[in-house]
Amino acid sequence: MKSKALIRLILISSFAFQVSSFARDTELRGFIDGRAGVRTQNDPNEDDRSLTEVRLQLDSLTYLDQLTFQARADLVYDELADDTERIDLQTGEGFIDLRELNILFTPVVWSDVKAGRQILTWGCGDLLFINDLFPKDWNSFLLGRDEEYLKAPSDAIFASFFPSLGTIDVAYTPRLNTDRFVDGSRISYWNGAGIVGW
Amino acid sequence: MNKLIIAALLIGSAATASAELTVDEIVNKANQAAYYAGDDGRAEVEMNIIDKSGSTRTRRFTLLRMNTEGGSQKFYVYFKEPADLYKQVFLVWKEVAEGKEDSRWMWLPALNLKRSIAPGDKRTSFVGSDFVYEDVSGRNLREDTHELVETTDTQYVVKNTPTQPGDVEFSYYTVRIDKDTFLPRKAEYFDKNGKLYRTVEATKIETTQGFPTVIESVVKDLNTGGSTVNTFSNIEYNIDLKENIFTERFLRRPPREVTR
Repeated sequence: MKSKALIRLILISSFAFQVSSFARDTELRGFIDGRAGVRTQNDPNEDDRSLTEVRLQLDSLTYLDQLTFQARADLVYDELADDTERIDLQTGEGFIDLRELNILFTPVVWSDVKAGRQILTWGCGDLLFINDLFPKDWNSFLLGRDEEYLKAPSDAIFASFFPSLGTIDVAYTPRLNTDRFVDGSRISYWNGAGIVGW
Repeated sequence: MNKLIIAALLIGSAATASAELTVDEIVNKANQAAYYAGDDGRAEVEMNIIDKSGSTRTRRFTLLRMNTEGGSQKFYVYFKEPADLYKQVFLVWKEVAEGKEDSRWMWLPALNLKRSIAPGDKRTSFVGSDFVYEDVSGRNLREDTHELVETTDTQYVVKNTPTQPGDVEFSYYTVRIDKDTFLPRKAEYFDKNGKLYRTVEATKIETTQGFPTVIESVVKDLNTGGSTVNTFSNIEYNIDLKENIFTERFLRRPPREVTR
């Protein structure tokens, strides 16, 4: 079977805004991001459009004396979504993609704890996450969403300890957050017998 | 009357004698004036990036700077605007000791990722502006040889030639330094063909807590026709910063010094 190059044209438009400090110590910022992509070659398994969506990201930070509260979510209008009614916060499907919802506090001076939905990363490289087993969204990455969407959120407790010799980070994820794998819905893949897409 | 003239001449010659600094003393004093005022400091910066057609993009950030041992320094740049840079942090550990390199990192909050900036990229654009990464923390004096090419009534003109020409995009640059404050006022960069292609100018200066301080600087890229204007406000010196602010812990959790 001949492999097909998926070359896409992607149109991106973004608009950023901010409403800072509507309460005393709360910041609310956000942006609107619109993206559209079409396949330049016919793919029998997929829609001609690879991406047609508009997302509004809202990011709020509240500083309290002992902790910081963060909520960050995308409201998504996706022309290619099959079922817009269904919301799945695990896979990011539906009109809301909850990216972060957590509290950050310092229980003792030598430790910080972040609990709740957050983005976890191990490593300090570019996009080459060799050791990083935290969830990623390969669809976003391959479809051409912004780089930040390569990382999918985790529901976890992340504790950092700062002894004088360095930093020790411990991430505890009670329930596995899987990668958002290529599943054939937007991008076809090879399943061992043929190219799959739907 | 004659005595007065003689006295005036004597004072004049005394002033000249004291002004005869070596080029190394001049560049050291200029470096101190430009980057080392106080033990530490804080400023709000508005950066306007203006392209050839006049359209402008704005970035806002808070800058913290701390002098550490042996002339080394640490810098913490916390972005507030635009939305796609919000909460991003640029961290620099500047090392002046021989054989040591500066370290630079960009903290990307949406990816929860600390990305190091390779030494080879230090002369590339800082967040899309006409400033380069190295402009934020200053170029190590050891990387250039310095030559006093002109002395005017008010300024020294120093020519700086890189010791490793392969590492940089210029063949040399000249800096005009004010005699009274020792602040560098205008740097002119010349490319490998000897053509002027870039200028960095301190356009407004005010004295804050006794330190002459640049409150507006402009860099022009003569090749692209673009320019970037930095405006500094809420400048404070000697604010007793803690050194641990300049670590990964406070990339993840920006300190009050930058968020408030």
